[in-house]
Amino acid sequence: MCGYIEAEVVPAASGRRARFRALIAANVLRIALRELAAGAADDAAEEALFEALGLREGTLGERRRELSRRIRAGECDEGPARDGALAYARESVRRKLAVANPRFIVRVEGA
Amino acid sequence: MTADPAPGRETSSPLDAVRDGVERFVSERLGRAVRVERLELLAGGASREAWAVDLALGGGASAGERLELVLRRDLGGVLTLVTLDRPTEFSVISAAYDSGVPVPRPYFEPVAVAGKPAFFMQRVAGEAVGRRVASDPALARARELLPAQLAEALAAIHRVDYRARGLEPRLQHPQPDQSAVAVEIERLYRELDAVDEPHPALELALRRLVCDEPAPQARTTLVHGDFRIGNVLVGEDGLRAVLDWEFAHAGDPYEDLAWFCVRAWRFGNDALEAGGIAARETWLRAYERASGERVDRARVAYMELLGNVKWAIGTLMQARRHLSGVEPSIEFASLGRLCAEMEYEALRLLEARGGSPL
Repeated sequence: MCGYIEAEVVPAASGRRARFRALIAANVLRIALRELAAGAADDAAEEALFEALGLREGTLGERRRELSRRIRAGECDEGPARDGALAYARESVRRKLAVANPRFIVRVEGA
Repeated sequence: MTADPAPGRETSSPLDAVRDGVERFVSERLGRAVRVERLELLAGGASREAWAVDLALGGGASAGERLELVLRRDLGGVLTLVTLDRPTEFSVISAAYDSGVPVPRPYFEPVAVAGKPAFFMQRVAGEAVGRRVASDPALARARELLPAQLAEALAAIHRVDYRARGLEPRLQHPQPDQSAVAVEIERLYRELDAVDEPHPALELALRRLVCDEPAPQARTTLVHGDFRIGNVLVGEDGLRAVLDWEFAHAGDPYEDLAWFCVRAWRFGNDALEAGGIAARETWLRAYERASGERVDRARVAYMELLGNVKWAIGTLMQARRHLSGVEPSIEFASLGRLCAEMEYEALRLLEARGGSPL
């Protein structure tokens, strides 16, 4: 589908704006595909990170909110709570990027 | 003063309505016959438009005189809490112009064109696209000149006496003795809450910003609010004009200094930390020379983290507008994903700050 968009739709699109939008459409499709592929493995990894923070209750979404609340309240300012929160944040952002833009980390860490 | 088509006249398209509106307004304003020779949409979103307008002026000794202008027109819709309306943007650009900041010359006064708030300014030739300014080989010489020119322009912006121009009540500004940074952090928490999604990475960054909050700004100045490569018009001779003033406000000038260095605005030249065109020290020293003020590097680093968080939350807000159907646009779907890149950079800066407690 991405190949079709890039090879067929983009050159045929008239005007820079239409071509620009078609390229964005192809990119969003790619992101969605990577997201589908990532799926269950990510959830298990996230559970493990929450486990290290003692967050075992509720859905993953609820635990994310609880972690955010703790951080904002200053409960993760130092020690193991801080380390765990940073580890979680680092991992979850990396995973989001693996789906959204895998080349970004390579580019940033290579600079 | 409005510039609407004559009552009872059918307008067949927005273009016609804008053309009629422009001709009526300018001819009344100048007391001369005016014909629109060219009207072309330069940039248009759901909330704002910019048109290229070429006017032929008739009558009198300077018959045949031409004006080549840009018409900026408001369609409605607000991106964040601090976007200026067109009349205020016009006043800010006028104040900057009168203070010697390189900006397009503003024309006439704010007006309504085809029912929407608008203003005119001189059309300036040049390149504004960030990627091209940062990398086009034809602009290599310009890039050598730009850091000093941009520093001069920014120092001039920070010297604009916005209070004397009566602008203070019309701009976001801190109360006397209030820290602009504290106000900004509060606003960012409110915006993050409005997005209503948990973002532990951004919470960590914000918490660090709260714990490390610096002393209030030494001076409260006019702040451009989006001063970066991508918002400046450049030619082979270097800087031609500073554009896109809709985020102007009063606050800490360090905000502008640091925003210029935010990674997102390096257009792939990540190693050149200042706008993808210069080393950070080159930029900061140029500003020191231009402003006569010593630049506190630690404060710049703090404001860079703040800037990254601000842009991350900005992308979330834009993505949310897309999902809510208010401004459907496939570009917005991509924006939400960009937040991950900003979060990554925020965490990287956070960890670079070091220090044992958060």
